[in-house]
Amino acid sequence: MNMRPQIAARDLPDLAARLRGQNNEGLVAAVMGLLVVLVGMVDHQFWSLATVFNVLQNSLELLVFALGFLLVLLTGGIDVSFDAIGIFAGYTVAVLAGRGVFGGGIILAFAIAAVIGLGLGLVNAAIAAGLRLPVLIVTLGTRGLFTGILLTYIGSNYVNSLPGQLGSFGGANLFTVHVGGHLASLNVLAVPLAVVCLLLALLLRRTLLGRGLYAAGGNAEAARRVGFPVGLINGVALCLAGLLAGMAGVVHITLIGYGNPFDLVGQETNVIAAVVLGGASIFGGKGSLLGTVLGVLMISLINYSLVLLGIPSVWQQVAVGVLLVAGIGAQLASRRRAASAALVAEVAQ
Amino acid sequence: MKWSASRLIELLRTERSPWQLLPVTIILFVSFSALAPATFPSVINLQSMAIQLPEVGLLGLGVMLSMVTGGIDLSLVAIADLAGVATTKYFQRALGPTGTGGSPFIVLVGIAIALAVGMGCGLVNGLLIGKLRMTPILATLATLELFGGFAIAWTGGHALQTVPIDLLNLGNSFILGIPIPALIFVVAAIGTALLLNWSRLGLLMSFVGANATAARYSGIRESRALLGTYVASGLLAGLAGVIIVARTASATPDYGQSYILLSVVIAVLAGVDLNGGFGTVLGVVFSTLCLTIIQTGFVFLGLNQFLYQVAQGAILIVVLGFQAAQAAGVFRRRRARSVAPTIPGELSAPAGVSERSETEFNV
Repeated sequence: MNMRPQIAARDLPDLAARLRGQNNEGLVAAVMGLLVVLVGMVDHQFWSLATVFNVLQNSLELLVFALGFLLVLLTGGIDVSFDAIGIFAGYTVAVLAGRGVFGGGIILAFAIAAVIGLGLGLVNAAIAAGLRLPVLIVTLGTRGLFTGILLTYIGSNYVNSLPGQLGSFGGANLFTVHVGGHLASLNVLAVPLAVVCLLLALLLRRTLLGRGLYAAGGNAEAARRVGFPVGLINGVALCLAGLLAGMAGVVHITLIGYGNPFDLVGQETNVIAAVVLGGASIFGGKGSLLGTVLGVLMISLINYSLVLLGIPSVWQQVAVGVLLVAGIGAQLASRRRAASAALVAEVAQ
Repeated sequence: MKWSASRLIELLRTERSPWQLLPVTIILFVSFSALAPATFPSVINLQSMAIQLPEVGLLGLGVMLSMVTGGIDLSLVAIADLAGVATTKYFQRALGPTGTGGSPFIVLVGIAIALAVGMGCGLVNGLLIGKLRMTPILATLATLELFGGFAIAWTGGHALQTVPIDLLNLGNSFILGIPIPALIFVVAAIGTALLLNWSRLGLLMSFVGANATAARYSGIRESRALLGTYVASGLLAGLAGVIIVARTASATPDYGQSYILLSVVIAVLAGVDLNGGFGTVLGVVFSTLCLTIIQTGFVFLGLNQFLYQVAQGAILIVVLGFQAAQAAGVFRRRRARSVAPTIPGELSAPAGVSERSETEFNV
């Protein structure tokens, strides 16, 4: 299915290879550690519980989007419609709650958003997997489609106050710390999200579907000959990504406390950079949940550090762009190294 | 070339002929004229469409060039914005923050700066894709963020409004009733056609896009062809940046976010092969016309501007679906499909990765 990590690992001493992890998770963690040390040396306030909470809190929404993006990337597709699906589902829930269609129960809100997201994901799946079209081009189209439909038929006004739990949940914190007048907290949502992460990790590692995602992305033809229904797997990945994106939309609106239909769209590069930095291969078939979590934390950490170091927020986009180029470049470099190592091994035999 | 009815029918029946879009354009124009007879077919509206068309048309040409090599360039909008910002920054220096006068020389230098920035950004793309062998989609997605980020950081996120009067005149005046931007677009389209069909680089681009492996074994230096492609598309984006500044009298660092989708829709509607190897300038011109007619028509019918976005998405998916059905032989007998690997650097990849099924796009 995928021999590259093993080949790369064989060349290194065993312990170093294990620390580094199959998808460079160790490397990402090390870079993060280095970053924490460096930024902390410039600003001692950085080494505090407040940083931990802030970074985690900022990661919540990014993480849910990233998980969905990872599933599609594993099959070799690049989905750029997740943010459109997210705001579609999130804003629709806000509008429904605002009109009193439902009371704003948080579980119901997530359920509605998940169904909407699943439906939109199904549209992606039907077009991309059904017609065997490139995922990026299709989702670029559906992104316009979803955004346009949202703004035309559902609404283009702010929903200022969210009723019931939907409105109050943003203030429901697991922990809160006061640091020098600043308030840092971690939302209760972190717990269900951790559960979702665990479930997805199990899905990827232990189920036939999970292995199928890797197989389809690693080598579609081989997977097909082994008997994996590749088209179906690609479709399921897009559906699940839609579902997760829908839920991420609710995370977004509950945490900020209002519904703005113009949010999110155009900010997908953060998520893509997080997943790519987390070691998921841009060619599909390789990547891990742990890596994605680390990648998301890394992006949040960098964005937070930029703010703390007093770098104007307008530079954030440049930073993310540089990270994305660096992440892709590093992947290509290691891929080429692995390829030449494989060639050497072959010649030696 | 003799123009007769049979010749025209032959052109229309040829597979993937850009002339197929001509009846579509005419039908669209006639339908919207019928729906808004008093306003749509007026000279003023035609002129205003001709002013709007060039910037998206130039971006569409750029995307087409990159698609001919089997790639895609998503960063063109950001390049255009950055080029516009660079030019306006120069004008601020040369004229002072409030100056709007300025000599033709300053305008020319400003235009040269925009074109140079466009080519420079294109060079970055070309190096990433041609030399480092990054996947075009990801490389340009990253540089979209990067160039756009630079434009925002450079301006602090604000629009710059120091534009000399001569440049404004260039963007908003007419020669024989035709807006100057439209004339510039025609010249650029002819230039692109010459590049694509009659230059060495154009031939190499088609070779690389049609079959990268074969091209490589034929001794074609793929990286050079790709470098040239992205520099050329960057140049087109730089020109689009100038036209945007001249038309809107300002440089906005995040102008035209919706153009990313639009430029891809234009290229796809133009019949450019996503797998590379085929694309026509005439197709891009016609599809730009179609989309501009639809956009303006929507405005005249009083439709929501966001519906235009829906229409773009729908057109993209319908055209792709139609092409997929055509390729699968739904409409006629199955035609021989060329194998077109699109990821540069596949030769160095482990065997498993490159062996995708023919029917699957490598995007």
